[in-house]
Formats: sequence, C-alpha cells, structure tokens
Amino acid sequence: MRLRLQLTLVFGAFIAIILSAVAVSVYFLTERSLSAGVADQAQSALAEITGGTSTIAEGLQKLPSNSYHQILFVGAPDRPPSTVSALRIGVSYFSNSNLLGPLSDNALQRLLDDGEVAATVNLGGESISVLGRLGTVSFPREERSMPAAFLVGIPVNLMTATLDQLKRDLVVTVVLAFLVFALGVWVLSERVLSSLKSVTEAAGHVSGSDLSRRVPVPASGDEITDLALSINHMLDRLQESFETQRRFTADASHELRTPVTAIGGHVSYLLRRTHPTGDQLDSLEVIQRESERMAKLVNDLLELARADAGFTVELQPMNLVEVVETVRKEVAPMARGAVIEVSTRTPLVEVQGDPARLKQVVLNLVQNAINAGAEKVTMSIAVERHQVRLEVLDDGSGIVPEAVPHLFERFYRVDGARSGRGNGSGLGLAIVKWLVQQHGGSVEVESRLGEGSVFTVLLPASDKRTLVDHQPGRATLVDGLKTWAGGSGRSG
Amino acid sequence: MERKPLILIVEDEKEIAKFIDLELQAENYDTIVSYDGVTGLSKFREHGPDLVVLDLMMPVLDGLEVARRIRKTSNTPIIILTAKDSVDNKVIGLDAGADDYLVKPFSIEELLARVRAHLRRVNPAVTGEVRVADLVMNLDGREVFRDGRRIELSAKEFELLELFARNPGKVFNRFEIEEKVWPEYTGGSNVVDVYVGYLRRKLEVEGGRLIHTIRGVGYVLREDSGPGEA
Repeated sequence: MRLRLQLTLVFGAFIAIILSAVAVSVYFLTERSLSAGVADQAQSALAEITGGTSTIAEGLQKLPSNSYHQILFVGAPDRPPSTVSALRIGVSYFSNSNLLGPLSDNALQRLLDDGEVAATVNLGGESISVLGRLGTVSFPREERSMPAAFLVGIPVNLMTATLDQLKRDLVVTVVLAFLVFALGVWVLSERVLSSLKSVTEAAGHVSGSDLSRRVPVPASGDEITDLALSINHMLDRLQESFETQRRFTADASHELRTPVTAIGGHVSYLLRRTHPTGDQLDSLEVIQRESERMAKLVNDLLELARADAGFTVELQPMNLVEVVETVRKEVAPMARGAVIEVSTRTPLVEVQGDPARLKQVVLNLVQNAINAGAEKVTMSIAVERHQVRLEVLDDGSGIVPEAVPHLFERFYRVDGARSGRGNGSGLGLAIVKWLVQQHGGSVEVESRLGEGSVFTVLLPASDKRTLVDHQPGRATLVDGLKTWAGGSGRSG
Repeated sequence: MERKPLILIVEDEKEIAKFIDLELQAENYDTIVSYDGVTGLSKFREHGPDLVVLDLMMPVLDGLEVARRIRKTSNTPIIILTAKDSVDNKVIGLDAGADDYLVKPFSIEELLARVRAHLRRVNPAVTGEVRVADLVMNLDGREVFRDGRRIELSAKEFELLELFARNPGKVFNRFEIEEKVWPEYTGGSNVVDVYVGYLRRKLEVEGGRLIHTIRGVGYVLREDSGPGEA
C-alpha cells in the first residue's frame, strides 16, 4: 500500500477512536446530569407534600405546572398495605392523572418493601419519570391518619429529545472531524511525499549508461534533503569508479595495440617473406592466429569502453543490403564450407546508420553462426511498416534455453559450447547489442537446440518515402515506368 | 635505370618500425627510419622521400605537428598510423595534411596497398588509373582520391563511380546503370538515385560537382562546367 494512503488511514482511525470515546462520554454524562435534575425535582416536590410543613393542597401547588401527581389512600387507618393488590385498590384522594395504573407490579413491590420507588412509565404516549413514596395523611380533627401512596410524575420527553439531538450532533461532529482530519493528512502527506517522489523519479532516471544525472535536492532542509544528498554522493562515487574502470579498459586496450601490432606485423613478415619449415610454419601460424584474436579482443574492449563512455555512432542514410552483401563476400572464403546466402527483394533498403558499425553487427552475427557449426547461414532483410527486419538464420547447434537471456552479456559463454563461439573474444554479441541500440533498434534471438538459431535485428525505417518506394509491387510499377521513360528519352 | 621509391618511416615504437622497414624493403622500396619527430623532420628535409609513414603519438614532436610542417613545403603523400581510432582523431589527422590514415593494429598488406596507391597517384604514368578533373580512381587498388585526399567508398559506390569514370561525358540512364551495377536485381527501386546521392555526399563535400543530373535522362560524370547546372 502507498505510504500516503497508509498515513491517512492510520491517522484517520486514530482520530476517529478518540473522537468516538469523547462523544460517548459526553453523551452519558449529559444523560446522567439530566436524569439527576429530574429526580431532584421530584424529590423536592414529594418532600413538600409529605413533609407536613404545609397542607397537601399547598404542597401540590408548588409542583411544576407540567407535572403529574396522585395521592391514594391505601389500606385501613393505621394499617399500612402489605400486598401489591392492596395498593392497586387504593382510592385516589388528590390526583390529576392515574400514575399508579401504569406502574408494574415489580415497581409496586419495591414501593412496599422500601417505602419508595422510582420508575419511568408511559402515560398516553408521554414518557414520565414517576417517584413514589409510602406515607400517611393525617387528619388532625379526626385524630387519625390514613396510610397513603404519594406519586409524583415529571415528564421526561424533553430530556429524551435533548439526548437524541445530542446523539445526532455528536455523530455528525465525529464523522465531519474524521473527514476533515483525513483530508488534512492526505493533503499534507502529499506535500511531504511529493519531494520524496521527485527524488525517487530522478533516481529512476539514473542508468548504467548515464551516471552523470543527479537527483534534485529540495531546499526544505529535512530528511528528504538528506536522502537526496546521500543518493547524489553515492552516485558521485559510483560514477567515479565506473569512470576509472572505463578509463582503465580504454587505456589498457590502447597500450595493448602497439605490442599486438608489432607481434602481428613480425609474424606476418616471417610467414610471407621467409621460408619457414613445416613445423616452424605451424608455430608461426599459431602466433598469427592468436595475435589476430588478441587484436580483435583489444578492439572489442575499446568498442565497449566507448559504449560505456556514452559514445554515439554517427548516423547517415545508408543501404543495408550492400552491408549484408559485403559481409557475405568477405566471410564466404573463411566460412569453413558453410553456405552463406542473402535473401532480399530489392537492392536497396535504406536505414539511418553507420555502415562500418552495421557491418560489424552483421559480421559478428554471421561469424557467431559459423562458429556454432552452421552449414548454411541465411541473411534476410524485410521492410515492415516502421522498421527494417534483418534476420541471420543458421542451422547450427542452437543455444540452450538457459543461456538465451545472458547471450548478450559481456564475456558470457554458453556452458559446454566451444570457447570460440561468437567472434572469439566473448564480446561480439555484447557489441552487437550496443551497436544496434545506438541505431535506435533492438536485437533478439530465438533458438532450438540442435536445429539452429535466428538472430533478429530490428532497425527503425529510414523514412516513409523510401519505404513506400520499396513496397513490393507498387515500387516495381513506379520505377519501371520511370526507367522506361528514361530509356526511351535517351534513344529518342 | 629508374630510381627505387624512397620511403621515410617515422615511428617511435622500434618493433613496429622494424617490421614496416622489413616489409617495405621486401617490396623493393628504399627506406629511412627515424624514431622521433625531430629526427624524422630533418631526415625528410635531407632526403626528400617519395612517401612518409608517420606515427601519430610520439614524444617531443608528435605526428600531427610533423605532418603540418611537411605540408608547408611539400606535397609528399603522408600515411598516418595511430592507436586511436575515433572520428575526431581521423579528422584532425587529415586536416593536418595527412593523405591517409591507418589504425593499429593494421594488417601489413593494407599498409603496402596504401603505399602503392599513393605512390601511383604521384606518378601518373602508372596504368590502371582513371582521372577526371581532380578525381583519381585507382582501379586495381580500388581506391579513389579527390584533390589528393583518399575517399572511402563502398563496393557498389566504387562500381558506380567506375562506370562513370571509364566513360566521362557519357550520359547513362537509370536502366543502363542498374543493369550494369546491380545485375542480380530486376529493377523496381530507386537504388541508382540513392547511390548517386551517396557518391555526391562523399565526393562533393569540397570541390565542385562531378556527377551531373540530366533531367529526364540520367546522369553523367564530367568536370564542373560552372553555374547553370541542374
């Protein structure tokens, strides 16, 4: 999961939990204090009417106007009630509503046991908190007192409504706060992470062939600045060691050229200008062959050192067909009996390229095929929509599938294959790949063990006009007319 | 009796100078060898050789400077040898007045062929050579020079130029050219126009137009007849 989403979710969940806890406690505290208020009100009202400080009528007048009350005589004088049913058959003395009726038997039992009860009842759709107490009503003139139940009811609808409203408000507040906070984290993390992102992107653009690029260092002076600085420092050192290695390869190859030239020159002199004996001839030929191989290796190493230095080839319009024909003529005498064929429809397929470099590409591929034991090598060129396809097909030993992905690596050798595969230096195919890439193309290989291989080089087409001219059929017609017109113009 | 051509070898690597010397002597040339630029230059002035084989990287006075100083007073062909083969180095070498350029490790046959070609160029009596204006084609060595400078041509480019150069002033139409230079293909491309373009690019960078277009007919090789040419 992306860091930004993670941050938002974690912080969002955290704030949601905290807000919810706060909301729940606010709700319950409010509920408790509201209920306590109602209970106090009822208690003081009851105290008024049972306290004996004033008459019942006076006490009742002090009750809140929206309250209910019911005073019942229960039982005979001086004989308090002992059962719930005794309470139920009590006679109302003062009342503006029937509060006893809705009270449950349980509540009434508690009233009998404790002398006091608090309960909430539903009376005609109204929720009422009822407080009841057992006591006596004294009649001083008759000098007796009657056991009585005093019930006071205070509507709590208002409180329930208030609590419901509070609940809704709290939920909305929590959700809104969560959303605002999450959005804030989302936006803020974007701001923080965007500089990290730009560092990542820039680092992604640094490649093996271009180590000169550097990561932008944000001026924020934070951890990301540190990261960018240390990446750049690492790149400095990487480039330095890469450059050292490249220069070493280049220098070493240059230095080797002189002795290699001297050895090759002298052995060639001995072979051509003197008359060595049979044994000497064999020995001299070994020296010549090995010096040629060394010369090839030195040149290949230089070529790759140039590749590493970001050297680019100079492209110009050129004819790929002639390159292939030239390679065929050059290789044929040294092909160890292999048949080299060229297959094209036309004498001209133009690409943007460096003729010498593309010749090296084709030469390396053909030599590779011959070294793989091919008896027949076919080079074919086909023009496709936006590209030119050059194939070098051989019926040689083929390549084991495990080796295919590594084939274009430097000094890679197929296990068990003869060491002379490629052009002998182990660098031939690496050079092929580099040169083809320099031409904006690609190279790939398909192979079946024991049947042969096809190396395919795809190069971008030179331009559309040339391609149209080379579409088979159409080109023949157009050019046929042109030549015919030219010919008749001359003879006429 | 004709004098043997005299070749000056300036090369600080003695082992390389040695086999070049041996080979050139075996080819029946007279040789002088010097191992640094200063001696090379004084031997050049003393003996006036017919051709110089010059190494580029030498202590004290390098090959470029030697070439420049020789060029001030003489047109003697100079073949440069070097261990560096980048395009820049070639251009610098040729700009300094060298006529040709070989990269180490080179094959000695290549060097001998270049020596022969350049000596033939300064000695016009040799056969197998075609000249049109300042264009010199050595048909045996398959080499082309314009204004003394060796020009590298591909095989087909050479064949096409040879067709023109053997018949200067003759106008060829595209069909004739295709039949002679690309006999294995049966028409159907603009290969002739494209190759004339290639030749012009290589031959006419400096100097005037050599291959002229005759509108509606074909091409002809002749000396630039001044402005007004298509």
